[in-house]
Amino acid sequence: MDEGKNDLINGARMRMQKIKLTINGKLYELILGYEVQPWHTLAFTLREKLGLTGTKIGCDRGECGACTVLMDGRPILSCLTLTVECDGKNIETIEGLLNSKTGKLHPIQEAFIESGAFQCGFCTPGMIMSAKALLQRNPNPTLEEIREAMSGNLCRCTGYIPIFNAIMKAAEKMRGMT
Amino acid sequence: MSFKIIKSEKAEQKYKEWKVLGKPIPCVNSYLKVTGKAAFTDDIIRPNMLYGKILRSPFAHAKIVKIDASEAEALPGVSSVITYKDVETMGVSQKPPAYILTDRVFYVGDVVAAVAAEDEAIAEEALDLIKVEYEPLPFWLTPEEASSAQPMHPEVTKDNIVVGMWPPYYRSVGDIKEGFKGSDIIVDVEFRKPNIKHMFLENFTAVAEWRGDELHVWSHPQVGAVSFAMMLASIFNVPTNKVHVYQCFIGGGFGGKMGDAPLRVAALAAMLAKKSGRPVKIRTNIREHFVEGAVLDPGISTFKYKIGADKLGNLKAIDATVWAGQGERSINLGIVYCGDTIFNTYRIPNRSFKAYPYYTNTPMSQALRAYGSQAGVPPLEEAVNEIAEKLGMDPVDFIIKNGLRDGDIVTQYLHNDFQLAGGSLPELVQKAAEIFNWKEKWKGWSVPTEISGSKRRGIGLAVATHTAWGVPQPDRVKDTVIIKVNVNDGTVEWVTDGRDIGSGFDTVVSQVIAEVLGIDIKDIIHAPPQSVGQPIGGWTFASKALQSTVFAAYNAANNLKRNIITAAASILNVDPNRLVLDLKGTRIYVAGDPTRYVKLSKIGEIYGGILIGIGSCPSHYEGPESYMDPVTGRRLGMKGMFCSFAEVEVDIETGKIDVIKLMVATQPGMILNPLMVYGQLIGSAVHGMGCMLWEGIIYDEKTGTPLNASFIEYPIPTALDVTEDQFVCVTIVDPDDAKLTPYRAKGIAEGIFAAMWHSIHMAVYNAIGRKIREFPLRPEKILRALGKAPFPQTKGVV
Ligand code: FES
Ligand code: FES
Repeated sequence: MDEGKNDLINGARMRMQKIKLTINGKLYELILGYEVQPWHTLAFTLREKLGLTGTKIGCDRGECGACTVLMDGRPILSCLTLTVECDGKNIETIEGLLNSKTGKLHPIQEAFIESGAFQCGFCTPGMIMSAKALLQRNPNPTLEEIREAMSGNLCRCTGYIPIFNAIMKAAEKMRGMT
Repeated sequence: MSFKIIKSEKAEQKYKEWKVLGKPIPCVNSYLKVTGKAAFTDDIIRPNMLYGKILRSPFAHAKIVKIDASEAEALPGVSSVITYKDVETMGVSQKPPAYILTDRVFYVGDVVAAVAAEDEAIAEEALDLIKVEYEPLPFWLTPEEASSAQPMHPEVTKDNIVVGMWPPYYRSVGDIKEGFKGSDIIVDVEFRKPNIKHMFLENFTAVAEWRGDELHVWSHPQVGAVSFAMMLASIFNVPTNKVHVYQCFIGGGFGGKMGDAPLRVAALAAMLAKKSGRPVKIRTNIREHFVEGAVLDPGISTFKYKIGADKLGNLKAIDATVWAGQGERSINLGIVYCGDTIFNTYRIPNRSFKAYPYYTNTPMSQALRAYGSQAGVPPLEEAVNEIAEKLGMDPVDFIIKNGLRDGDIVTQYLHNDFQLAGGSLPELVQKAAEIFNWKEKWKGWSVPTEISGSKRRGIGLAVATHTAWGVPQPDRVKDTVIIKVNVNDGTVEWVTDGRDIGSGFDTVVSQVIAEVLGIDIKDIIHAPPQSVGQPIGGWTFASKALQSTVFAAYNAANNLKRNIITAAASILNVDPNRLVLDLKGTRIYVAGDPTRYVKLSKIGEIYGGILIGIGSCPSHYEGPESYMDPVTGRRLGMKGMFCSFAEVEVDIETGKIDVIKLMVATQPGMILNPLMVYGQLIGSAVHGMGCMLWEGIIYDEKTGTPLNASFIEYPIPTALDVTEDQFVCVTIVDPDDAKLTPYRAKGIAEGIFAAMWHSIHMAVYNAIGRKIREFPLRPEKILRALGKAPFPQTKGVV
């Protein structure tokens, strides 16, 4: 009897629609209608369902860039992206930046620290993810290109200049590594 | 590098003596902040937690006649709903002006009810099901309207003048009548300012949980955790030691997270949590932050300043009045600080200042990167500029003649007067003008420095002074720091109940302790601030950390060191002066003979197993009584000295202003951490540029609704608005400019913010030759001033 019930549940689970997300290299399968609702944003899923609270929610309406994560290498606003839209995608968040083997900080993180590129730190995860996307596609950006790439990320504390310095410095560090 | 540090010989000498101070040490919480591990309030997720949402008023002023939440309560997934009716049944105390929920709403966005549900979407749906019947009441936004309106809070005042914490609203020095009689030139200036917002990125958030009769709250107040717990204890009528406040990282504050909005959100979460019997998180959104969060104190204001000088350009008298719409409540510190600006920027023998703070139907007013001086500077500088222009004087020369300087008497609006110990505007401006190349660029008043096509360039400057001692507070917020040494490995922990808001407070205090105790900054941590078990005082506001918290830490570290050394000396039977404290080596040894030592653990035993040092700031605000000038016998005190030079380019066809160069300069005393000082200077300069050029709330005058409640419609500077070569930060470093603190340093960020606004304003005037006596200087205002705008003033109250 019990076995039959288990079969039923397992069967139901098999038939349930799942959203598959690869986040920082790890595969997550989330059951639609249970762990993910059609109206859940990626920011919500990351933070409240998966406990990945490194991604911050500022405005929650696409104006500040605090929630920036990378989807297949491109920066997106996770507060404006529905989790169901991310099925099968590769997501990178701030939690994935540490070198998983050595525990070392990513050069962008190091450069942010050395340049004093944050104060309250609320915009920082989003800033770092936007910087990562930029340096991935352009390892040697000019100041103009940096300003352009960071223009969707607001910071009320630093006045941005220390952030530009940090990205320049990070680019140098990363070029040195390859 | 756009950061110039010009050191005196004395400063060089001090830097040589220091091991940890003076170094560009990154923020002590860096690792947490760059990895996303720094826990902000929204990152707190409690088991079985519910999500709260707030119903807000669509009216600027109304009475709630009827409220029915039954449908909302019945919605599946909803756990509880609270309205003003619950306040009484739950025993919530809200003596004015601490309103949490009442049957009246005082501004668009004021709280009407709150819902806790399984998720935010359900909570939001439930808000729509709450039926509210309002009786709209007359509302007003400006001080002019307020002066003739019905009393908003008749229980406390009949004339709408705010009952703030810091009256009086009138002060005079000398005899202004005589002063104007002796003046050859008298000018009158009228100036206006809108409401402006903090616009930090982290919206008001709180998590509350009851464990029996214990209330646990996670929040981001700028007041210390202990003070916040005291406020919650009085609201919920519970003993303070049953309120556990965990002060999370603060995602920007700038004064906007002092007390009220964070307290209200925390109180609502606690009410919902009590009613639901489960933890509740409320995270407000940007619009809620905009409508409920504080605005700069003074709020919507009119300034009328009359000022007189003799033919030689010596200022003789000023008669200044400010009328301000302070919102539904205010402590009024900002408006009275405008008075401090009037009294203590220039040497004016005869001075009078009057303030009229009114209740208006907008959210409360509060500090914004500074209290009042940033708002008080532009009208004062406008008046002074007009005198200088009439006399044909270069503004630099004018400041050199009239600026406040070392040894002058500072007339504090709210406290005892003191004699200025260090810092001088004339000296600062003279040095800064050379660096800016002022004399070469200056072509005279209202004369552009360059013309090319439709573009006009102009230069300007402004000065400001600002408190370097925090602000007066009731005795309860004197700073205290406790330091603990772990006897097994010599590592150090320190506590006070304040949280860094990004200014580097915990880094610099750690540096001070490391310097005294002779340890590496890596061996020291600031324990996460929380109310239970920690001392009071670490409020992070009003440029106070460098004096009161540093003072407390310095005393605590020295007390600790003295206790350890005294005990070791008696064991080793040597003169304490011969002993070296080697915390890393967990011992105390005789200088020159390291084989004679006592283990730290032995000292620990003597003190009952624990090694702690306690220190507090000897006197808040004014500096220790013992600081007297030996010659004059007067009490000494400090002020920050600031100036800002701007070069702008105005396109007279489009009205657009580009800031070509902005150079801010200060005399910080010694710089304890250049990385932090640079960050504060540049951050303040960019923030202030936004305030002068674009920011300002626009209200619909028919409904009192703020019309630009988002980052798109209330534009703050973005990465596209700044370039490295635009900004120069100059510090003239000399220990004699901050004589009264242990390491000769004083706070700098707020004063820079105060000075830089008007430098842009004056530069625009010189570029286009039109006076615009208000801000922000949006393009339409420039065009209107040039007679080029066929369109009328923006509809609504700006
Ligand atoms: S939180 Fe996503 S853009 Fe602001
Ligand atoms: S560091 Fe505070 S918003 Fe960027």
